[in-house]
Amino acid sequence: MSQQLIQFRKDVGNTYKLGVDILIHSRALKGISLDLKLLAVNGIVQAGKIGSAQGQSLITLSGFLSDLPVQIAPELEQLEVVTSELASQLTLTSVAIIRFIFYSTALSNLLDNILIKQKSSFRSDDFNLLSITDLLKLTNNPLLKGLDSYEKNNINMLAKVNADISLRSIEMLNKSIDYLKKSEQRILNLKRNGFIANYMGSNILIESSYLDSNQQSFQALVSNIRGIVEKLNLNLDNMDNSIKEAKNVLNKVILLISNTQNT
Amino acid sequence: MNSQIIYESGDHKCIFIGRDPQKKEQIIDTNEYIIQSGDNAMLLDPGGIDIFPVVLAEITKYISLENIKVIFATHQDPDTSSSLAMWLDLVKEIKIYSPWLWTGFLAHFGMGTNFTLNGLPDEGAEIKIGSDGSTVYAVPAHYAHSPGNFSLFDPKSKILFSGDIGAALLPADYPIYVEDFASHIKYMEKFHQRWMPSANAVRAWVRRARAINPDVIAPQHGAIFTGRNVTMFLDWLDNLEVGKWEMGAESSDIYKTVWMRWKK
Repeated sequence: MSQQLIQFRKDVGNTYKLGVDILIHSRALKGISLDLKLLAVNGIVQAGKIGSAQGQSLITLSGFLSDLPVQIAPELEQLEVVTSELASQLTLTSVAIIRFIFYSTALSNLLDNILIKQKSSFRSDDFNLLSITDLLKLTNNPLLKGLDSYEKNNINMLAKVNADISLRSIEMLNKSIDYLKKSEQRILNLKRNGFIANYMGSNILIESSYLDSNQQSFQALVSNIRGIVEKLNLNLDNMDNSIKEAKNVLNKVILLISNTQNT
Repeated sequence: MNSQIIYESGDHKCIFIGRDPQKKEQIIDTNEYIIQSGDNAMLLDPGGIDIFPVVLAEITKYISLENIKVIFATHQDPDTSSSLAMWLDLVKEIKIYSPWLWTGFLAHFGMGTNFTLNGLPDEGAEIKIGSDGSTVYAVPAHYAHSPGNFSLFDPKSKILFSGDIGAALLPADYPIYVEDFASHIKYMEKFHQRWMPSANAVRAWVRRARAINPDVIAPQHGAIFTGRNVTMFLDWLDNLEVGKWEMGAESSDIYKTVWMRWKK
């Protein structure tokens, strides 16, 4: 197997793993919107107990906070849908590329058998078996002389399957990148909601600092909000890193195939 | 990968492919066979997906890939047919035959390829190799070893392709044909004792094989039986105790077994 194919195989295995990682992080976020909702309700209850103008502003702030889970919940749901589609797309892409590797190895073995039979000093590594253009004109290659008609048929058949799968793989790789971009957008939306929750928390903390009593319960509330947002951000950052890595690997694979098309 | 023509008469050929010196150690060695009848070819137990590239390259030494009209899977094991989808993507018109019992299971090797498996009825069937090739016969071999299992008889070459019956686990440099039956037994005895679950089924298959009276018995693993060795093999198999596992009969030491450790 050529070095290029070995690298291909490694990269594909890596993207499959990244897809699963992203999905796991996305599923780990389940329950966050409920936690936030409970905290907001707790805030409203605490503020209601105060019964002054200060209490009213805290109720308003907690009310804003309680709106956030309503926005976060569908975002989280959508993120899970997109990441699960991404994981499945990456799996399909991996399967297609592994098939490509098997066919490519078969073609390379076939060429080696023929070249050995012809006592040629060339070997399959001297051909660019990743290039669609080269694949489709393989039997015209001057390095392959005096082919039998069935040898020609066999090479043409395998080369055509390789070219088809190569094209399909590029399509699938691009589709995977689209899913990665969609996931990135969802993550951005969620991070914005996390930022707003933290901001509300800070306002609640400021407002509650003027209270004569009950300060501690609001401090605990804000600390819980920050804890949840931290958890949210941690998972989103991990997903973001995996997405960036997956994008790099996929772009590298696309570049490798596309470059070989032009050589 | 090695290969050899094991029968040739006119435009009818049988080709052996196996003994891959480069195969990974953990992969069991398998024999693949091709029956070529004019411009039509049948591939028997095409092998696992991992060895697909080498098997394909070896096949192309003998035939044009577009001539493969039929694939026959003796049973469901991955070493016989996990490469099915790869073959079908290459030659879309291939007809695949397998025991009916396994069609739904073998479809799991599809890898996204649309393929239809032609389920063979329990009593066996005749199969034509392509539109104008010769006819071969699926001979029931159920429970020897798989519950849905066939051998295949080619009347032209008089070869009985026996699947796992007659299989042996051999060193890589072992000859393709059995030379000394007595010394060959040690390579196949344990295989048959463990992989053949039913003595009745094995005896019934031996009766069928004797009725067919083949010149050659060609298994999916190991070496090929010819001449006197065919009869010697059938006699040996007819008397072999199968479905054998040393710990099969539970003893009073049952509580010392691994699967009862939870009791401690």
